[in-house]
Amino acid sequence: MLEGTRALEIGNERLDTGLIKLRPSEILFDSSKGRPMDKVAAVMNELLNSFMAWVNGLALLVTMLSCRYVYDLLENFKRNYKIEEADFINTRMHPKGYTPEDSEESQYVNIVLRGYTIGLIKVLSIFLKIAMDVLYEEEDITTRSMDLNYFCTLSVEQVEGPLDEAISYLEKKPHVPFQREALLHLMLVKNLLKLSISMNERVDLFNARETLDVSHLHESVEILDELRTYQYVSLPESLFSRFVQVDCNNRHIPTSNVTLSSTEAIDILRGIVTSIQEVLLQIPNIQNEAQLILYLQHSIGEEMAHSASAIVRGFFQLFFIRDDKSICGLDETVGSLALRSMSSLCLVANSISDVDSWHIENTSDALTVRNDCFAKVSLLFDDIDSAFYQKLSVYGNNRCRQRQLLNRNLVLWDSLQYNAEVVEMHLSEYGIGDKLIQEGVPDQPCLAISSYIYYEKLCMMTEVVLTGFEQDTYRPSEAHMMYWYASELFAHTHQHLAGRLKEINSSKLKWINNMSKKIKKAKGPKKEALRSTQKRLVEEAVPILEENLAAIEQYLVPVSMTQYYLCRAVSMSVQLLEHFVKLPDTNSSLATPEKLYSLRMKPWSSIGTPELPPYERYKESNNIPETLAKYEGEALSRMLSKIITSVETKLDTVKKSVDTVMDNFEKDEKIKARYHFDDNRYMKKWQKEVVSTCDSYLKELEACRHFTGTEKHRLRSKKGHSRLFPIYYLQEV
Amino acid sequence: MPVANVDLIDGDLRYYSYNPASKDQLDQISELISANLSEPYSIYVYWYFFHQWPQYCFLVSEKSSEKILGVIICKVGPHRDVRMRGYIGMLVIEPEYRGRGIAKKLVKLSIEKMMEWDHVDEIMLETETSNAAALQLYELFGFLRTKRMHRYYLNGSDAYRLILPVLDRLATRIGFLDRIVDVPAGVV
Repeated sequence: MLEGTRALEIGNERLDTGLIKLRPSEILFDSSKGRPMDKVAAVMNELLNSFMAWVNGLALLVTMLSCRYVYDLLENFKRNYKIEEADFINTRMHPKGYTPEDSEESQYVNIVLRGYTIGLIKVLSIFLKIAMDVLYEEEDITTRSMDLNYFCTLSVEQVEGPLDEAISYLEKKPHVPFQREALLHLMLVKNLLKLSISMNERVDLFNARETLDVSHLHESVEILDELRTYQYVSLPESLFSRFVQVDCNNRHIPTSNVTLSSTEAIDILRGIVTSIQEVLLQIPNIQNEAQLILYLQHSIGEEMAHSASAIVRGFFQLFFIRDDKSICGLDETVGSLALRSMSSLCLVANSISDVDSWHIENTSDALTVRNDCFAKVSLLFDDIDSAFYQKLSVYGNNRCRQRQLLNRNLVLWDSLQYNAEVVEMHLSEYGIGDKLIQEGVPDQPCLAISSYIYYEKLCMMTEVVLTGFEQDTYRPSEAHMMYWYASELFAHTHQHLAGRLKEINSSKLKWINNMSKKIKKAKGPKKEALRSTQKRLVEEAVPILEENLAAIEQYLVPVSMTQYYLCRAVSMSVQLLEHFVKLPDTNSSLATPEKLYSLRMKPWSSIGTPELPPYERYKESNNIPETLAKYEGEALSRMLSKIITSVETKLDTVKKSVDTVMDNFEKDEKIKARYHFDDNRYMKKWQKEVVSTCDSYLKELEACRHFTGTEKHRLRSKKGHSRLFPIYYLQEV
Repeated sequence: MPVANVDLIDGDLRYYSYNPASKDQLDQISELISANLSEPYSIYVYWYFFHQWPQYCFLVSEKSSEKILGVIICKVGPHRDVRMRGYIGMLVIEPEYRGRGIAKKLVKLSIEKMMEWDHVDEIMLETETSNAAALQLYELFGFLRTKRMHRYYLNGSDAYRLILPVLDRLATRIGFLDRIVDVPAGVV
């Protein structure tokens, strides 16, 4: 269907490029003809505008390539792919051996404008590479190249020659009108070309001692701000034309050319430059894995995905995860980050990841078992690397794509959890892997890896639920259901954190403390070995375990509790609002509510643990409208008031809980060290969003107290304080 | 259930099956669509639909006229070999006839026929996120927004994928379903 939509159809004016009518001036446009500097500067400005229109998502064919200077230059370059051949001489118009006249105006075009055009095309080629490597065609940017080579085979150094020649030529002409404007455009392009260097900068993640050089970006912003103040003369006639659509190898339907205003173009480019600058300045400041994940989730995955150009997202992805899977180009890798992530939750000095500590029990063939266990653990860690890679790759995508990728990751992480459980249980049969130390409960395997995976999976599940609100995927009548399901998931998360994850860390601490008893009893070299192990663990593992416990108790548990109450309260609020929706019965649905529930919950339906609640349980847990329907008159008012009060209490609990979390965040040094980043901006934003959401719903509930029951309402949603929590309200019909 | 031509009268309007032998109908359909939809469809799109699924194109005219004032074009086929999916490709009503429930009737007719003739598991379509009227129409029938697609249309706007669940198979993720399409011998 898509192909058919864009297929050429001979004889159909809307679909046949052969029917495009061109004026003689479009056909006979002579790119090598000399022009005054005011015209050249105007062309440069318009070229930048059309380039930005392409960056903004349109096809090259209707933006930059529709400029005859660009098209003629690339056509000539195609002859033998040498930069010297890339000039403006139209060989169909001029005989072989033709050289443009030697006038000053001719040099403005054939030196200055040529240098600029070549430079800008190379910038385009850097962006094209970003787009083709990591962005989605058409969804993020359109990369159809019309079989032209945008200097992709040339290095930046090779194209800098004509650009530098143009700059030095123009620097010698300070009194020519519009020289300043033209020179600024050239300098801008020269700075933008350095993006290719920035993209390959290396950062010693978590240990960076120096900031990255962003002077070229800073300078670009200054140039853009100055360019914003200039006005230009009119463009040469037929400079931008649909000639290219007729002339080049075009398999696409006729389309109108598009450009942007200078203000729009400068705004977009300035946004790109400053966003990249921010990325390059912030990443070296990240101190640990926890801060990195916060940065990825909030700055990249949310803020940048919403506001920055697709090119910035692509730049980030290539800068962050390199071809060799190293992170930011140095020692850190996807695998090492995965280990850090596990360690900062529950996998600390666990014997499963220390092969030397394995003393195979319960078998006569210890060597074979040891090799078998080693192979299983290696494979499991490889799988975790791959899953973690998928997790890290999500953040640089547009928000719609992020949700789709997260949805796909659910299946991956679910099966990973299953595999991890099988491996950990198998290993525990031979005494490998840490045990939980609980009073009255015999040694149970702690299943640290599976527990970590389960936690990650729960977070992803919740994110898929809540981002559905951001993307307006749920109808108002589904809102209570999805917030209820989110609350269920937060309840599981809370239980897992407060239960097993806390237990794993505290058991390890107890185990290290209990070593003293073993040391007392041991003798000779064994005593020494135990003593040295305990010393190592006390120095290396205990601080991490204590930090993990602080993070779980003071931060992760209260946050999951807050989120649970918030989702539950919003779900109940929406149900209360639904009670007042009185519309004529227009139910013409061809699907049963149960089928609709199953379809809506499909992304989570294949998950083994936690199992999707069956439809009946959903109905039982969300029965406010049904409950209220049983009452009338005074009894109804009393019941309504009772439910409203109970929801208000929940919302107040949420607000108090937020204060507690923020208090812990400010007071607890361990939490500060681990999570404080960028002036604790993310947490402050979260606090503001949650409290404001609660206040909005408290207002809606207050309004419910005053309804008489005779009004006719429709349930609607409006933009909230958080993208994940729009505000549902009643609109009078 | 064998496929049979539809020809119904509802008030002063006639709802009927597209006749593949009629060049006039094809011309009228493409003109109607071209005048009312933003995406430019080539003749190949119509051939694609009408060659394989002529039975799933329904037209509306005044009882006493041959002039087509509304059309719905659909298809049915296996989705990734595990589900039978109905798809609503295009729906257009002449502007002056809108608001009379014609689109609703055409959608209902198509859905019923896809269920009756091909036992579809689901019916799917895409629509612009800003097209409130289309969303309201389809959601009335129980279609759910299952996915938002970034810059899906040529004009740069986002789309929703809407799905109507018909049979229970739909609620299972694709990877967990058995194939419904026979694999030819020798092909793995």
